[in-house]
Amino acid sequence: MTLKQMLLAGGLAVLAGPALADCADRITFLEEALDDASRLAISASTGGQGVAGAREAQAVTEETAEEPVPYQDDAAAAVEEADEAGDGGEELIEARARLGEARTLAQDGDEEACTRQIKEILVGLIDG
Amino acid sequence: MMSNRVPESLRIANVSRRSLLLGMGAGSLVLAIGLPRPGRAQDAPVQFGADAMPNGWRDDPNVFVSIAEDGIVTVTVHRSEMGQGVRTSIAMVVADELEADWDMVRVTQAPGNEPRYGNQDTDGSRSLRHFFGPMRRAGASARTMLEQAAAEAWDVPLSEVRAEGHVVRHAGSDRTMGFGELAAAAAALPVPDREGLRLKDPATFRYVGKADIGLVDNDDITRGTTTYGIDVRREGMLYAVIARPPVFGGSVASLDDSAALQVPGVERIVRLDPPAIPAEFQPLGGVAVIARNTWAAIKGREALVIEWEDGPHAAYSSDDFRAELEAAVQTGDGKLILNRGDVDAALAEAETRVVAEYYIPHLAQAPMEPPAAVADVRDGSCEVWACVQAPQVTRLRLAQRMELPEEDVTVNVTLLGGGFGRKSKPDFVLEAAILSREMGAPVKLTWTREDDLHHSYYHTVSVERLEAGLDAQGKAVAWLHRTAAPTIGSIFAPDPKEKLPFELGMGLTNMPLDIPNVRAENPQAPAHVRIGWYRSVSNIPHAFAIQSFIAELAAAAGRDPLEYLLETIGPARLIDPSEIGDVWNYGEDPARYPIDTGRLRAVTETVAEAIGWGRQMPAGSGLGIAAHYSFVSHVAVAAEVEVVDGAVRIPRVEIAIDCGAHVNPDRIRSQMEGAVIMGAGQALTAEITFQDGRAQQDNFDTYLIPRMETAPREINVHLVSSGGYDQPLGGVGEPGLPPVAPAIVNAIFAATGTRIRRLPVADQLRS
Repeated sequence: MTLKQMLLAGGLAVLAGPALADCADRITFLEEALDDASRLAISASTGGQGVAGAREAQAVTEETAEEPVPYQDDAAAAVEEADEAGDGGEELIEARARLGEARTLAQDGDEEACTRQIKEILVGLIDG
Repeated sequence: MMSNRVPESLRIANVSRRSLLLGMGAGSLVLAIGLPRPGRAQDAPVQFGADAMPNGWRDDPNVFVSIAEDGIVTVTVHRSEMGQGVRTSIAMVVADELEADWDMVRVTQAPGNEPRYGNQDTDGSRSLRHFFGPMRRAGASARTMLEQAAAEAWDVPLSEVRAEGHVVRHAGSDRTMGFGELAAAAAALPVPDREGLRLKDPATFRYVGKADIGLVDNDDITRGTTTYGIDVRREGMLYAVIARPPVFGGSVASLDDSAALQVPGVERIVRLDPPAIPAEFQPLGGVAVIARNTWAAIKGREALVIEWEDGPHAAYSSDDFRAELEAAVQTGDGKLILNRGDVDAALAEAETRVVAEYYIPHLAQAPMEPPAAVADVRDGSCEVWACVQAPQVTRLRLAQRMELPEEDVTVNVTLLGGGFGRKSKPDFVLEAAILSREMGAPVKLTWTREDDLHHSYYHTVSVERLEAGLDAQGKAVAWLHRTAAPTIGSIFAPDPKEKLPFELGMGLTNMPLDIPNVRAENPQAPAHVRIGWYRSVSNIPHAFAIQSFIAELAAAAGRDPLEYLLETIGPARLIDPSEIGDVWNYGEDPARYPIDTGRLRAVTETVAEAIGWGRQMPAGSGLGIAAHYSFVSHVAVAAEVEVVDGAVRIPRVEIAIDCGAHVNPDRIRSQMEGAVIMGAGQALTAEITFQDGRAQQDNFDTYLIPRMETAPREINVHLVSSGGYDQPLGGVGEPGLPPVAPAIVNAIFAATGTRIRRLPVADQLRS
């Protein structure tokens, strides 16, 4: 399962799952999905600053996503890994930060706004 | 391996974003099911560390170890040596497991060939972190093969023979055979299975962890017989220098090379095309002068009459750009990157609010040996000799540029006279290859010091704005951090303006502070020069700002800075970086490499005790402290400074690192000492500035790296050990640097009451 797919599945479960009674539960569930996705992003980015920089930059800038990143002679794999790194990196950071806003809304008892915020986070992840 | 909490029944695949969005109603979502698409993440377990790097790792003894008939053991080192001692450290690991006599061990350097050797990018403080295990296994496998060869020669059970001290001994008869005698027979044996391999008990290590192993290159370096990139000579070689556009993105508008061609020794003038954007590792273009010696090439370059078209960055001024960045961090328009708790509410309720902005300038890696390469591109092949940190990417980019199969490109890696990230980028090797192909002869390309400072891949320039709210006891309860800096991504993608996740993961998204309400934002910042990684990378601005600010908060709260730092770090605990917003973690498994605030506290307390924290200081002197987690190691620095007539002197620095078990303690110490000296330069003198798009520093008379009077007079390194050799190792090459500058600046505040928020200090303390 790719990172994007896992996020989508997690997000669907958040909104569709009847066991998730309130927004706080949904936040917790989505946060766990983000934790897992973060591990995938770490893996895809790699520990070398050169490789990480190349993959993440290419992935977040979709105009060049068809070009191979440096460091790899397998262009197809490079593009795919770059895509995964960017999806998991930039978008995950933003999603987690916005989840914090949802938590504040949940703590304030604003279930509707909290759920709306979660949906927006999911749309951001899907459309990112 | 990743724990996947998403229910199996809900797994989906091959779903287009658009179709899923279309299926999303106001109150519900439609679950779309499709066929799984192939892909690494889907089919393979999640990988971290060396496993995840391009071409991973190898541990085949036939690749890394050879033994001659005279018993000489040659270890092939595939990581680049740039003063960090990796050729020694890797050889130590192999030799130890092999049970080789260190005096019989030699080292040879691998060419660029990752399919054979595993990943060779010497960056990210990873060489031992990623290859300690594989190199142990390579040595242990070779030892086992020698033992097996001896057992067969003596016709005794393998269990009765044991390698020790460069011989294999039969326990029953006390017969011995030397490694050289056994080498041929051992080489014919199959490599033992990895799973059943017997590694040494670390308690019996002879070299690993010992402090008395000299560098394998010491004698040659001392005698001047080593070969750096700048030293390579080939038969029939020509010599070149290049006049590059003084502004990034510029090009040649007109050229008069008539005078240059009259310079004795000049052979030819060659125009080079400017790079496409993103520039990545492409040459910058310009005009090359090829001559019969370097001096003639330089004189020919001086005689060139070039009119430059400066391009889109002609107006770049670092002073103006600083103002732009300062304006950018004033608003909350930046991309949201961290958000825990409710910062706005906590700030509103705070007893005290503190705001500060910090400026960290461009820096150049400025390795003592500037970039240099020799290339020989003839007859359908390309061979280069170069001081490169990334031999394989050099090979790949040469193959692409020369339009040759990868197997027809050979990258011979010389010693590097320093690297610091600059030599990860092989633009200079490509330049040499282009000119060699043009001339049909070997060409040596030299970068002068001026070339290097004018055309580097500069460390980014950064403004960090921090705001905190303190409660009645002075404890930080709210933390707002805005960071604006051009991204390294700008060399790989067209005009990105926000930091990449891996840059944020260097001390920002993973900052282990015990503060309940935290928000971080990243306003946009375009790049106007080539931005590259420089030792410690984004940890430099993040650590400087955060560690300075914590000391500022201590002052605002009327608290002792050490006590306040420890309180802000909080109690000892393990933090999973992936659960606090970090999506890099230096590529390591968060479960194996959590942030350990107990270790961060321990190194902090170690340096505090060593410096004599709390003692009465004479007028004009002060102590400062800082701690930072980077490259999965924990480091703290305590500095003592004295300020006389605005001049800063550093009598003493204490630095402590916890990088797990120690493989080569001498090298860890030297890396920490080097980091302290380099950090002193960052704090006090080093800065690259731009005017009209041009770097204004030419040489070491204007780009001021530490000299005797600014270097710390005494540096004491403390190796804080936690974990054995079976535990994950931390990085060493880079993590020493980030806490140095803030510790020095905090000490300056203690000495003078003046808070330095703009690096370098330079003449800010002079009245």
